[in-house]
Amino acid sequence: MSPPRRSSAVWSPPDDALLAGLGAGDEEAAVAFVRRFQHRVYGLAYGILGDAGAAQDVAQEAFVRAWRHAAAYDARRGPVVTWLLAITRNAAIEALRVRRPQPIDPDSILALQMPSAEPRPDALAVLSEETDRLRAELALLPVEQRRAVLLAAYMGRTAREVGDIEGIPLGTAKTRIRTGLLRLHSAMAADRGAT
Amino acid sequence: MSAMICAELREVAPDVALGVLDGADRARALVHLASCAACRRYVDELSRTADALLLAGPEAEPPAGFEQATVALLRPKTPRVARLRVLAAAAALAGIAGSLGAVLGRETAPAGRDDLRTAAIVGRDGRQVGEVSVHDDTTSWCLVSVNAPGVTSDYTVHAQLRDGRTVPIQTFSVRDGVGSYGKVMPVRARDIVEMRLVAAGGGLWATADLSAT
Repeated sequence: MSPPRRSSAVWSPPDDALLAGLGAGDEEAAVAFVRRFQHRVYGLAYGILGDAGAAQDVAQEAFVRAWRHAAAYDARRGPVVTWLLAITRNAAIEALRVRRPQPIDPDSILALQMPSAEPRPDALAVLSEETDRLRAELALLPVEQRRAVLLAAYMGRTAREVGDIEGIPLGTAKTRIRTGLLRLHSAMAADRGAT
Repeated sequence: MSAMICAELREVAPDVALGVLDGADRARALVHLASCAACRRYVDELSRTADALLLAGPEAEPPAGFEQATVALLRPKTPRVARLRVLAAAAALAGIAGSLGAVLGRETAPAGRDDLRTAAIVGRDGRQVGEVSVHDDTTSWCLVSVNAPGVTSDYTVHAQLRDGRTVPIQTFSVRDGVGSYGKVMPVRARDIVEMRLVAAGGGLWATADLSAT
């Protein structure tokens, strides 16, 4: 059997093995799991909430939920980091609805882009390439479509809510969300096909 | 509630992928998706882009002390020795007992403790395609690692018990030859004599003999 893949001189345990250790109550795995994902989890929470204290609370809540529900993770539905960020987004949306009647400017989410200094394992490195491409495609979207997509994707806003926030008719909000996501999807699909 | 047709589903698919379709439309979409594989695939594809949007979100340095405070919240009520056993199993999962400790900055308990049993997963052609570790503690755990170049498929792990029963444990994915998972088992590790990896079509792909470990 060939040895496990190594991304650098120091081998990093796979995300799902760390999650398994976290779920089993292993403290070292918990430390490694938090260290690996804290910049993403905290960054997403801060991007959605725009408040450091609230973001810290939500990020910690996201890690606690991941710990409690580690056994429910299904690798067939996507990588661990996506699962964890979906948990973070949902926790942030819950906090957002309690703390703030109106969401912050969706474009401010993308203004915060601080890459983690932590060396990335293979899986995250691959995801990072796709992420960079998606960020570039987002920047190319018409601003009104980008705002609508960000309000939906990050803040869980429905078309009706996007219409209210942006002061546009419901039909226009639907069109902006759907056209924006389909454009991103087409660009990413073409990119995947080209690589 | 009237049934949704494919054309309607395609129109609301971005909302479904983003998780922002609500009310009756959401219910109608879910009913349609339950019976339409083509639309499910389409929504799954869009969902990949929607998920990638979260990955494209910001990263930021948490406040000082965040890591320690968060880990403190994740502290279980299990004794220290149990945690070390799990970590030893995790190291065995990766087939690199000891190096996990280096990554985490400290030594870990060595694999091969009395309650940790590890066996090679061997394909039908006799080649080793991975490794499985099982152990009993306050819970019973199974950790599987597959490294089989060229293989991309889903497999269900079944535990063959001493009393003759076969219990399904978990379905997991091998992508580009690599796949791993850890799972709490509904059976005791000490009762397992063999682990079987069964392909989606029902065929036996590989086995791990735990009878002698």
